[in-house]
Amino acid sequence: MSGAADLLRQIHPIFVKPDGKIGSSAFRPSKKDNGVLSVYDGRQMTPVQALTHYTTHLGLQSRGVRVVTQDECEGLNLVVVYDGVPFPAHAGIDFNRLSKSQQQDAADDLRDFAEARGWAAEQP
Amino acid sequence: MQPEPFLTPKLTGGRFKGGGLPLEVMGDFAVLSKLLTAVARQRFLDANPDRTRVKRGFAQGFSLVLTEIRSGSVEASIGCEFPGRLFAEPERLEHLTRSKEAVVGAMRAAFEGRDVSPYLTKKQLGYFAGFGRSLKDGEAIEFRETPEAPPVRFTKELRRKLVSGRGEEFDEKVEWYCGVHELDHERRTCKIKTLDGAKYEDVHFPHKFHETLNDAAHAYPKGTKVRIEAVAAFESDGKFKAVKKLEEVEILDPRDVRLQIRELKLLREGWLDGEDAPPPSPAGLDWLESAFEAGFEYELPLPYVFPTPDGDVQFEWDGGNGSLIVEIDLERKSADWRAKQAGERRRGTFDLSAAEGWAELSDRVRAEQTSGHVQGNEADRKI
Repeated sequence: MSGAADLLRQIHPIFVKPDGKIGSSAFRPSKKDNGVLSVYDGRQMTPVQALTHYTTHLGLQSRGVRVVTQDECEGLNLVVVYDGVPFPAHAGIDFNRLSKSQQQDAADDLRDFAEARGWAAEQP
Repeated sequence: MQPEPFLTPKLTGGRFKGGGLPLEVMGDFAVLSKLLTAVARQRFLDANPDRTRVKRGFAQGFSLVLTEIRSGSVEASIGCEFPGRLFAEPERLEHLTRSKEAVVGAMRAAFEGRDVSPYLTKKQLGYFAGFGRSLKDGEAIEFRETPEAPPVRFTKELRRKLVSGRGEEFDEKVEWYCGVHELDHERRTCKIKTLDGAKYEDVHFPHKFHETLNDAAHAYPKGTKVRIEAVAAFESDGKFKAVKKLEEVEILDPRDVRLQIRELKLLREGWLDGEDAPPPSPAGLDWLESAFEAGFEYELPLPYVFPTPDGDVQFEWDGGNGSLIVEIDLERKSADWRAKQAGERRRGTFDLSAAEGWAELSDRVRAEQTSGHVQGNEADRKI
């Protein structure tokens, strides 16, 4: 696979306020994620397909899809991993190179990038 | 004469954390006094099977009075006075003491899932329809039959058990955080949907709430929520029946911290990405709500409240040319803060287990607001 990808992040409804504000913790991996934030590889699925897959196939809650790019991640010293597990379009943004405070800053920046773009796909 | 020491209930949680006794609760104690008197009357008759009525002036011969309120949690000392007497009347005091044992014994039996009928009659259980009605979630009144006995916690749930023991419908004060999605102006009823998705229809409202509810219904599509206090009727099995009286309606700021914390309370284990993401702990959220209410200066802009993937909570302020994020460790009651403005980042910590930490947080928000990095939420308040 070639070319820098759009990375599609599902946003849980609890991270979205009525005025559209999104919490930066929506862009931070948990300890149980082993420091890797799950995203969809935008070269393999459109945002609408990713939203349908996440909510219908996986049965998880999402308010919609926001986009960050591989270049933005790399600019923050984050590594993008196209692991294809547990499904082919799965990818991860690896935060493990960063200290805790750097991880917090990187999540804030990813949120700002994604917020500026608006929704790529949204629940009706 | 000094009132005879009789009962020392301890009030814990919620509104009692401030150390004072809310006046609203005084009405509950008035009902408790009536219950104790009614049971004492019965005990007198039980002890005197040859009598069909109690002595003339039996109930007038004593009076239960509040003698002291000790703060910390609130401890209310209730004494027994014998008007016009120099000394306590042993017989009346004895029946009152047996009455206290029966009432607290019934609470203990209900708590332990035992039959309460050896302690109180169905009619006497009816007094619990009034006593404890003002208790809110997380609040309790601890009773002991004797100073040495372990406490039994009288809560909203325990009250419900006792009242439903009569097999009749009962009233309970409810507090809903909800949206108002439909209003019938003719019938003066509304339809509401609570945060957990429960829907209530035909909620009748008095005229004084018409304008507020109308505003809330218009703003429903924008996600506006209200806080409603009402007296509701429940079937004996605890099933909701109807709203009997709407007592308070308050349109909430979208950043109302009580509202946002209640939304976090709905998260369940594994809420995020299908992983084993823990939700913030209910006890931690209760602490955060009361500590925020007590410690954060009310005129400052309110934060957005978000969960973190590891079960903690994040406050965020923005709207200016920067942002302030405070990440709160619910277990340690401490926080890391970070501010960002034009690429410059600053950070620090707060100890939120103490009032000083909340004062420092307030100062930080004020400083960021004064510098134009974050803005107030006045615009949000216009619905």
